[in-house]
Amino acid sequence: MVQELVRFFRVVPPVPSLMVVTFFVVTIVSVVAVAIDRSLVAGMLNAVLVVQVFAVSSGFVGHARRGHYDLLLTRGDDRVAVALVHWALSAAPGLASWLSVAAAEALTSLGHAGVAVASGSIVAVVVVSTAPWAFTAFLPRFAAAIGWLAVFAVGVGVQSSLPVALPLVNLVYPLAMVGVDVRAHAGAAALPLAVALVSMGAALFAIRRVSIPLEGAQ
Amino acid sequence: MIAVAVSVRALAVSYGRRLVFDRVSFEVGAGQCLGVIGQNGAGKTTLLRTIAGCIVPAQGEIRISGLTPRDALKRVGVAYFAGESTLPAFVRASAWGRLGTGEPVTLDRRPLRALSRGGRQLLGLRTVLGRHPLGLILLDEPWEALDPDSARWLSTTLESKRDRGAAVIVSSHRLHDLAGLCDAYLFLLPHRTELLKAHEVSAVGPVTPALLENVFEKLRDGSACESTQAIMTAEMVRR
Repeated sequence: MVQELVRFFRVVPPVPSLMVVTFFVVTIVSVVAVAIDRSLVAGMLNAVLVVQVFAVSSGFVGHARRGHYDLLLTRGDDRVAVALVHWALSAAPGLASWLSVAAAEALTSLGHAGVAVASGSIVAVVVVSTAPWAFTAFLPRFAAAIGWLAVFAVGVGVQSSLPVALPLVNLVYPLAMVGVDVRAHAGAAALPLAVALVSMGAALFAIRRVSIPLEGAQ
Repeated sequence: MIAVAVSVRALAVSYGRRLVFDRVSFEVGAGQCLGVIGQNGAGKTTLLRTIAGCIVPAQGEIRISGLTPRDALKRVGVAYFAGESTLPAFVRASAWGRLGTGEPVTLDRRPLRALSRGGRQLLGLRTVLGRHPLGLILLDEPWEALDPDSARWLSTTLESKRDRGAAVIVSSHRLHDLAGLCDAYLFLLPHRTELLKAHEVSAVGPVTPALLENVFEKLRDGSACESTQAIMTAEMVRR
């Protein structure tokens, strides 16, 4: 069944081709930059994750309400499986890009990809690859990414005048965890991770139960 | 072919506070065809989508071979198509055509947005109707935008599938296409639904497009106290 779902979403990709091209360009630039100067790894991974926020904000239910997924939804496939494959293929280009930069780091540092595989980097990539998908599941494409940019902009302003707890900083700006070993401050990483996983679970639960009328028929 | 019977009892669907339709009941047996006729916005699309398991009804129940729609979809071959506007515009026609059975439906590699409306409609229909086996066919305005040859192909295909045991439910404003195909007609109007079974009025004559149109107009204009059967019979006797 999963193969069939993957085949469908390869024909009807959740990530626009322009976004895939963007990832390709970011990956090439990042790999070259890391090859020239290994200290640029964190910055390059941040660039990949910023694009990833937009890529995974793919709007599952919006496309389903336009009837794009009717072939799947009326074939008897489990909706959670359909949504999970949709999420996986939404995140795949970004993960591939991230792995490419990690590989470049490993090659340039003789097998030691310190920044890309740091615990904070892993948490950041998990959070960035799940939460926007979940928050955008019932919203138009890019809604979560735009919302995140707005919250981030407000957060930057607030942080300059108010003390903000580290878990909240990591929640609003998970990219801050890239290259950081968060095992010593597990609480700081636990909040964004918990929000990401709970929002993912809630989105899947809702997708399983919700009505999917056609946009024009409501 | 799996013999599929669809049973709909006291079905009501609402979007938020807006009631789309209420107390809709009918049955469609294996090898039978139901035509759904109604004004724009009466809920034809919603009815078909509810039977296809995409919408949770507010009240009532649907059984497809005794199962809920979601369970039935796993066991019964279902062809559902809601029109060319539901096809993603950026996908290549040849790739979309292969999603039905894996076999190519067309070799045209243009994106769907480059095809004519009729071309997209035909591709969508051929993709879902190519599935095998098909126990239940749900089509929303399937003749829309088709040229005469394609419309004839569709009617012939539906007759063939129905005669081989598929249950068919099809909505359309094209009464002349429905009249030759259906065993029963569901008139879906605001605050009223009426079911007309062709065999119950066959003694006074065949169901013609003109007859369906007259019945629909009378129901729409508020012959609320008359049943569809009475309107139909009176109309046939008058002729």
